[in-house]
This record gives sequence, C-alpha cells and structure tokens, in this order.
Amino acid sequence: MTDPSLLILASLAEGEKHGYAMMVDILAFAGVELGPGTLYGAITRLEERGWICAVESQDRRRPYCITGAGREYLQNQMTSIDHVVKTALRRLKHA
Amino acid sequence: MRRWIALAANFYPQRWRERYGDEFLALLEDVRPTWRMCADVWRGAIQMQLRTGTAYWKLAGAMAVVGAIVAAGVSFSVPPRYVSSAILQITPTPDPVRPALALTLQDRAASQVAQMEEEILSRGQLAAIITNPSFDLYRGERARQPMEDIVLGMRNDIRIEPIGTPTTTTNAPMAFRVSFAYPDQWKARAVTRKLVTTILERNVWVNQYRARMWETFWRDEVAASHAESVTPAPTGLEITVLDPASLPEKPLTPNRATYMAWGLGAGLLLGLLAAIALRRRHGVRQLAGFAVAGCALAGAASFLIPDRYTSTAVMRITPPMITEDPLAMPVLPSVAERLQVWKPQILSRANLARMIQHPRLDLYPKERTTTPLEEVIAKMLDRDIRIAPMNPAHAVHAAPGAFTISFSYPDPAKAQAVVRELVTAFAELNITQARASAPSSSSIRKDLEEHKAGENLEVLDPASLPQAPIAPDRLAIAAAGLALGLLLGVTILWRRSSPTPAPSM
Repeated sequence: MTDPSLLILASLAEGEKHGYAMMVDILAFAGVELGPGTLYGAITRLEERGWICAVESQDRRRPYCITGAGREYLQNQMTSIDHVVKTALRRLKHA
Repeated sequence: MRRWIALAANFYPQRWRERYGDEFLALLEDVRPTWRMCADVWRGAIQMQLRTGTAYWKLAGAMAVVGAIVAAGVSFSVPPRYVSSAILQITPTPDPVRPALALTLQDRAASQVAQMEEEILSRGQLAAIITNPSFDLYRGERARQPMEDIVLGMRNDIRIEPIGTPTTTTNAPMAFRVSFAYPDQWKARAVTRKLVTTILERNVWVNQYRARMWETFWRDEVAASHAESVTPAPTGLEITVLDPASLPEKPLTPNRATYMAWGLGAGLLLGLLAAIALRRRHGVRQLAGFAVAGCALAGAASFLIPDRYTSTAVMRITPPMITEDPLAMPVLPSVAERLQVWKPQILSRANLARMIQHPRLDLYPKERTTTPLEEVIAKMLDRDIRIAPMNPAHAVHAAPGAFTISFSYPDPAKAQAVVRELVTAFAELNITQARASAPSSSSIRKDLEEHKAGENLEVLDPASLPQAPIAPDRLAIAAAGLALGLLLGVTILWRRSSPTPAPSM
C-alpha cells in the first residue's frame, strides 16, 4: 500500500503528529519514504476534505490530528483492503 | 542542494505558502537533502500550481519559456551557411541600325540574363554540378532524397539578382549579383565561380552565334535592299566580372529570434493543451482515444491508395535572334498567350484518347473498364496533366519564356513516357504552325529555320523519371484523420453530456 493519503491517516490514527514525525512513522511501519512535496500535497488534500485537522501550536512544526470523518474513511478503506488480503491469502493456501 | 529545494518551496502558490509555508520550511530543515527529495518538492510545487485558478496561464507561460529556450538551443545546432557572391556588369551593345530606347535595350538584356538563368538553373545543369566530384554537394541529403528534390533545394540556394535600378542612358551598364549559399565556404565559392564561368561562356557563345547569323543575313538578304550607310551590328551583351566570387569569412547565422518566437508559440499552445488535459483528465482521455483511432484508421487507409509519381519537363520559347525584317526589333514571345493557343490542340480529346489507348502506354486500364473514355480523359486533364508558365524565382523584371509540362501517374516510367509524348507534340505543333504562318517562298523564313535564328521552342529539361512518389501524402491524411476523430469525439461527448428532454405528459 503506497497511497500517501491512507498512510498519513494510518499514522495519525495513533495520535497527532507533525510532518517530520509522520514521515518517520510511515517509514517505520510501511517502509515507504514519503518526500516533503508528496507529504504536504496529501496533507493539503486531506485537510480540504475534512479528514484531518491542524492542531493549534506555537511551534513552527504544526501537528495534525485525524477527524471523525477521516477515521471513518480509513476504517472503510482498511476493511476493504483487509477483505482483499484475506481472500488472497485463503486462495493461496488452497492453491 | 538546499538552495534548489528552497527555490522549489518558493515556487508553491502564494496562498498555499501563507497557510503551509512555515511548517513546510520547518520540515525541509529537518530532513536530509537529496536530489530525489528536490525533485519531489518541485513536483509538489507544480501540482499545487496546477490546482490554482490561473493554472492554465502559469503552465502555458512556463511551457512557452521552455519552448523558447529549447528553440534557441536548436538554432545553435543548425549548421551555419556561407554565401559567396560575385558581381557581373552587363552592358547592352548599342545598335546603330535599330536605335532603341534605353529601357527597351535594358529589358532585352534582362530577358537574355533570364534566359541564361533558366539554363543555369535547369535540372541537368544543377544535377551535373551537384554530382561533380570536385563539388560533391548535398552528400547527406542525396542519401535520403531524390535528385529532383535536391535540385529544387539548390535553386533556392542560388540567387541571380539585379543590383540598382535601370537608367535612361541607352547602353548604361547593369549589374547582377550571382550568389550561392552552402555550409562549406570553399564549396560556396567554387560553385559561384562555376556559375559565373557558365554565364560568361554561354554569353560568348550566344554573341558569336548571333554575329555569325547577322552577318549571313545582312550579306544574303538585306544588303541588297537596304542601302544604309551605317554598318549594322547584332545586339548582344558584354558581360564583365566586376567582383569575382568571394570567399565568405562569416557565416549566415540562423535567425534566432524567429526560432525563439516559434518555440514560444508552440510552448504556449502545448502548455494550454496540457493544462486543459490535466484539468479534464477523463474527457481528454476519451477525446485522445477518438483522435488516435481516427489517425490510425486514416493512416492505415492511406496505404490502400496507390502511390503517384510526377514526371516533369521544361520547355522554352526563345526570342528570335533576327526577325524576318532584320531591321525590326525582335519581339519577345508571351508564353501565356502561346500556351492559350497550343494547349487546346495538344490536349485535344483525340490526342489524349490516342495516348491513353496506345498499346505502349495503355493508361488507366482499370478506369477504362468501368467508366466511359470521355470521363477518363476529363479526369486526366483535371487531375494529372499540368502545363503552366514557369517563373524563374529571381528574374525580377525579365520576361521568362519557360513553361513546365508535368504528368502524375502510379507508374513512374509511364509518367515519363507521357511527358515525352507531350514534349514531342509541342515541338511538332510549333514547327507545323511556323511553316503554315509564312509563305513557302520566303527565303528569309527558310534561312531562319535552317540556322535556328528565329523564334525557337527548345527542351530545357527533358522528361524526368520520378524517383519518389508525390502522393498520397500519408502524414496529411493521418492528420486529417486525427482532426476528424477529434471532431467526432467532441460531438459524441457533447451529445452524451447534454440533458435528455423530460417525457411529455
């Protein structure tokens, strides 16, 4: 899975994070190194859709958190992916 | 590296930077800069720019700048061309017997120069220069293109043009510049020298021939009846070289401003198209499908059309050296008027039917089985045969006497054979008409014919054997298919998107 939007939502599902923390976390759990341009392109889109929101901060490194709508979207996507993964694994076992 | 990344960060839209700028720069400070990251930031900036309302113009502007830079780069790869030129001075010989106005003499001189130009620029002459081992011109082009096209290209590289304006003095000298442009300065000079030499040799020959003819006629035909005290002299030209062929030092550089303007325009257009494509990805993808399908279908269909080859010959009416009344000024023939008289006879139904049905030619065999001969003849006249006056490109105020005869046909050998037939028909008709127009008792007429001193119709370039087909233009057909596919796509998509009318109650 390499969709930056889903990776960011999955990272924020654990708790609020700023950009660099998201990059480190995504590299750790998914092995995907998002570039700054890709990361902030996805952050812009996710915030416009209301799936993430910026957290008030005095620091230049502004943290983001996942919204209810974002959580619901991530849940639906993961369920769908989970169904595909389980089906594929079951078929591999019987093959 | 950091500088490039910072530059890319500045390329993000203003409104985006106001919202995310600080935190984005903070992130860039935290990460280790690499070329991959730099590219990622640039890509992000471009994507953000395309999301703004003025993206069309931004992308088009960026592409226009890139187009201009690329075009400027291309202009540097165009090989420089050197122009060698020589200046010839032409003095019309005064005529004590037939005094003429200065302009008449100069017009006649210009006409003689135009005749020389027609000869020098004839296919045979230029092909001989091109393939001459000491010149060996256009070697690269000769490997790719037929000689006919190389000769056409060389005609554009040669200039024979008058310098200054005619004066009112009877035998005032006129100057002509002969020049040749070529990527090799030494070859440019060598070819210019060759052209000048050919002009001088040809002029000497014409003057000698004219003098001999004049002397003969004066002695045999005129002296007895005209007791003028002055000694008659033939009109001719004295050509001297004012400036010999120069060795060009500086090359002609391509016009970089023109290149850049074209690049700018093309980039602007491509940028607008790309911006539209990025905004309406789905619709554009469908339209592209229609366009590609139309292009492929038309391109494939073009291979069903047989190739057509065009053979061309050039004939020329030369003005008389001496008229039947040797004291009168020779009148220059008008090719257009002469063709108006000749063409209906040469291209008569009987002549064309004979050619079509001749066992050696056997033209249009398939068409003749399905359509009446009259229609085949009409199609041959409309589509395949072309007879028209030829204007030398650079003869500014001369009266050219040359005309071209061309015929297009799927078989190159038959195309050549038909042009040969037409050339022969012109020559025969000219002789027949000349004999019919003068009483057989005219001894001057007989002598003129015998010495070819009167008006002549000659073959400047014999019928060519075409090496490459001229039609169908598969690129044009494919482009037309592309345009039709686009049009069809727009129509279908528009009909699909328009709301269906509500059913009437």
